[in-house]
Amino acid sequence: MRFQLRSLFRGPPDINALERNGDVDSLLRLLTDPNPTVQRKAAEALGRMGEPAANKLIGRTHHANRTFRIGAVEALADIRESRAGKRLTDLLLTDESTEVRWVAAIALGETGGGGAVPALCTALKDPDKYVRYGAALALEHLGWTPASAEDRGYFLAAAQRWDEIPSAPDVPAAPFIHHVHDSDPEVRAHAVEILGKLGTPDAKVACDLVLRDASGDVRWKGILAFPDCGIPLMHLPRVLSKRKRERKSPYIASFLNFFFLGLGYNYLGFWWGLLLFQANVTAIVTLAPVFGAVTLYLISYLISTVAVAHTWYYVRGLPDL
Amino acid sequence: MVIPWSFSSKADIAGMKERRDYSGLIRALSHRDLEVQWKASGALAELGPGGMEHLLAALHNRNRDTRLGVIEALGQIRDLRAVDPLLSLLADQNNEIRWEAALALGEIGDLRAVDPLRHALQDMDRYVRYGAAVALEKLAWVPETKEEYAFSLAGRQDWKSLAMLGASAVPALTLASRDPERTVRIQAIRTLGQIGDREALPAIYDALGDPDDQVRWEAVIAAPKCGIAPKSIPRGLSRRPRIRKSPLTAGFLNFVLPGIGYLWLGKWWGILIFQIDIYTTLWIYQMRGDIAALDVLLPFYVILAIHAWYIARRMPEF
Repeated sequence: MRFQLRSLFRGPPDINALERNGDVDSLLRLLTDPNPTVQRKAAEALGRMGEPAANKLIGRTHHANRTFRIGAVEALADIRESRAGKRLTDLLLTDESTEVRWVAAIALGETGGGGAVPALCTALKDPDKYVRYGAALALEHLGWTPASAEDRGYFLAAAQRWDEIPSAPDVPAAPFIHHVHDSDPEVRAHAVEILGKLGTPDAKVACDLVLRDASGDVRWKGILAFPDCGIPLMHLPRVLSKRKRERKSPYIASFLNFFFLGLGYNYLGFWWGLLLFQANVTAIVTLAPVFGAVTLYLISYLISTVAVAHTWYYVRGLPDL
Repeated sequence: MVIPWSFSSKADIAGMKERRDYSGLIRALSHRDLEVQWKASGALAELGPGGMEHLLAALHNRNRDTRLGVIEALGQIRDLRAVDPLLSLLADQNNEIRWEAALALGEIGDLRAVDPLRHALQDMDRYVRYGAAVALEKLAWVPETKEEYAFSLAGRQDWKSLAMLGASAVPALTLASRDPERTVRIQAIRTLGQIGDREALPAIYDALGDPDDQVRWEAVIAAPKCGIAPKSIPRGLSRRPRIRKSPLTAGFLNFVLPGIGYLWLGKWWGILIFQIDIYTTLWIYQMRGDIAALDVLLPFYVILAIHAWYIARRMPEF
């Protein structure tokens, strides 16, 4: 909305003119423009300006605004400014934003420099798959070859080349045990599948975590994989039983329906539970002067008891997934 | 002060095994540490048939971990006295118990288990079906019909073999298409599409109304291959549960509980309106009496109801 209003009253900024005039400061300001096209064009213009822009960009790579940092890194990658190496590795390894770390990895692949490869190798273990993917592509672009089988495992997993992993010689389990902690269920499922194909007993440390996974697909891959890793299939039902259940608790639903008639149904996803709750409260408040509060509470709890029995049997009848 | 072992980090499994402390080992099966549970179960198995009475009695324990550990031990001991109690556990309410019982029956190797395990291939839980398929293989069971073979393949989720089996796989895939797990339903419908048999029509038609979008999409792709005319597909799809909330319910809720209709539609500030309405009603009631409060507020309730109905109508109907 903000950039639409500005377009109405001021029109879009003339980035070409700013570039011709060497107005680095204005272009830097446009890196935080609400319009992504303006941000991109400003970063490209700064990238073409070379040395004058680089001097100001290097000092401001830790700007508080995320889109500014992304634009600054993009521009530095275009300038191929060797002094930027330290700043970019800092951003790659410490920035809180996934996108900034990702673009820093790509930029390091473009600029290279002394510290780029070790930082990119560390980024192969980043918690975010986009950053890992960026680091893998950057390392490939720099002509890096893995020094060890473990490095190769991390590299192939980061590059999402799952099919190439089992055929690689002497693949250790560590990279894939690391990836069963990933936030993306697709990555976790692939990592578990690879552990099964490797058939290593080291995978036992991941068994508990995998079979408690929130994703049904990851759990199933674990069931198929762990017997190949030397864990007896008969051990697995016990671990699976520890997973977080999707079914709502019959105890909580019944408790709520007893003390707050209707809220137990609401907890189970029935919209009319709230209505029942309100109707009960309203009935007690309005009829209390006529029938007496004690009588009304007794009737209310009698209804609650019936609701509790109904809730209990209803929830127990749901599949316990 | 002596801390009971169940509260300490480790239990002395080796010592209990040495002393043949069956009660202690059975108690250790519900230890909070999974490693201790495994070790206790292993120790009970290594003690052999001598502890069968303790183990069979513990099968009725209320604790699920204890029962799982006992079943695991019974499967390893392979004493035939365990067969009947384990067969009855194939009907247990808990799916892990049924799964573990199926695996244990496969380990024991008594052929009395074949028929119940064949039935377990049609369990509603995929882990139980998998356990039954593994157990039947251990029992060297040979399916009498292609349909039975298909149930065994479906238990293992061997979708490629099921597709190659053709029309005989339809009943097994129909069962899988009703699985609570979406990935199983997706694979089942996809495989039914690959088979392309008219017998799959009811399953495909049901899947068109599946709550999961990907399952519905697979059904849309599979339907023409199974002989459903393209013009009939939209009708099947129209039976799906709608994600969009009902405008009438939103309007009704906003009328009787002003603000709650908004909250139900996912607008956080609905609860704010609800609270403001309560304060306003109480204030007008104190100032002018309850009937007067209704006079003032009723037109607002009508407006709120119409507004909630209107914004619900404008939401996309997925």
